[in-house]
Amino acid sequence: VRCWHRLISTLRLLISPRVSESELDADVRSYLDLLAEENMRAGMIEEEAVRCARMQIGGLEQLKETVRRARHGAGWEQISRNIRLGARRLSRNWGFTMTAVLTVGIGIGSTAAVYGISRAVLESRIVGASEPETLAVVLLHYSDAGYVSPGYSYYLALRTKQDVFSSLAAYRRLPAVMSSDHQVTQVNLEADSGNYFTTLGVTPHIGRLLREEDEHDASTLAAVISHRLWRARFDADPNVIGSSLKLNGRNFVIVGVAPEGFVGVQGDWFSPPDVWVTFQGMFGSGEPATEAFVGMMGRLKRGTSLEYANEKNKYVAASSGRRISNRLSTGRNRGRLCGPLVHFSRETDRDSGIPDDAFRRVRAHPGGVLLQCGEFFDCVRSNPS
Amino acid sequence: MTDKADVPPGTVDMLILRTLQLEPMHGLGISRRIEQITGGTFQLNPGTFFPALYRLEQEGLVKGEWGRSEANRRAKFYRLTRTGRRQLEEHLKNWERVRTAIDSIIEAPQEG
Repeated sequence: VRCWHRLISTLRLLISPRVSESELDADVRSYLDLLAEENMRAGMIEEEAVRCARMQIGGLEQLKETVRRARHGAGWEQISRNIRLGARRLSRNWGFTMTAVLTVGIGIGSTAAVYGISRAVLESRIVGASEPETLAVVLLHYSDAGYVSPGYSYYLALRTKQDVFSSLAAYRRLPAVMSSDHQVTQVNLEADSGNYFTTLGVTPHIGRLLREEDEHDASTLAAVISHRLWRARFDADPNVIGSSLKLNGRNFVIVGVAPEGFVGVQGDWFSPPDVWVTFQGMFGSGEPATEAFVGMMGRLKRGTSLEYANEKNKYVAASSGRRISNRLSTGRNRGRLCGPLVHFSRETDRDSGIPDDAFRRVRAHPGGVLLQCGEFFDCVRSNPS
Repeated sequence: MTDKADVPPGTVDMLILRTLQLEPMHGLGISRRIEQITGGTFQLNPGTFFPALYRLEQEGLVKGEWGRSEANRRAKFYRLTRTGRRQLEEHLKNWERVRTAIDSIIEAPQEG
């Protein structure tokens, strides 16, 4: 009951402050009158009685202020009074008000925008991926050659030899020409290993995503389209699954739509992937596929930290940042990479059974041309551990 | 004349409620009644008395209504509400416990 009364009193103070104020004023003044009358009964003349009464209560305004401060809801009342005062002053000077509002508005807006962009660039995780903290970007790094872009065949070798990731995926962006229903458009394509989506733990919006079997199925080439493309090009038609699509002259079948907002591992807002296909689907199963430079991302085994991986397997954990802006030593900008970095050193390669000879060849052409890297991968392939 | 003493902290509310238990009174009346009953030991100045009275009113323990004093002056008379009576009973019970505890300490036999 007391709390209810307190709430009502506080609301009354806020809603009708003038009524509360005039009541307080009347009450204090009547107290003063009664005190003055008492003094007059004691023999003082009226003037002296009033003066004496004022002295006894210590000043009317001081007494009212003491009551105001002690009342329940005094803090709210103060805030409300300040707001009203501010609003009155601002309403008297529109020029100043508009300038102040615009300045504050622009300040807040620009700060929020810069903060939002910075956060998205520096911190954001892969949209749609499950447990992104256990995902790691994998780069090859040699002490005397710096970062080296691996080819797809190197990835295939590493996929079977490494022992810290439960799953290791590869990806590569490239432009492509898409034709369907007599329309030809340029799209951003991403060629991936078959386990790309399962490594990331992404679930499809509709249909299914790429899977490892798609790497070996030469009869039907599977393609996953982005949510954006699905809406823009296919009017969000759920019957799009099973439709055919021509990419760079090859026929693909749409097997699913990626979840909304999913832009792949490389957080490239300006040219996010529209279509995901397998490396085999894009390049065929021959040399062109194995020579393609790729990015790699792995899902750390449960209970394996980067530090542990570093200690046990001589992998060097360079950073645990969520998104890392990285430029390879060859000067090729690989864009922003999501997830912590794991550097595979030359020693790791040696331990994994990738021959040192292969490293010497690649060192001569760091990050080099496809042909030389092709030789390197031939070497890798001809020297199984 | 009795020496003045400070009102024990936390007891102003109880003193006001107890005074109003007898009859509705205006602010000065409450103040003077306390002074009179305590033989002048407790003299509540308005700076202590008014904030306490307003808080009690806000909590619904007393209710103020405008009326006329004996000398026909306009004054706000405060009366005890039903919630106020219950609160006063609690105050008195608690005060009794405190007083008994303090007495037992004071009256306890001293060693030596």
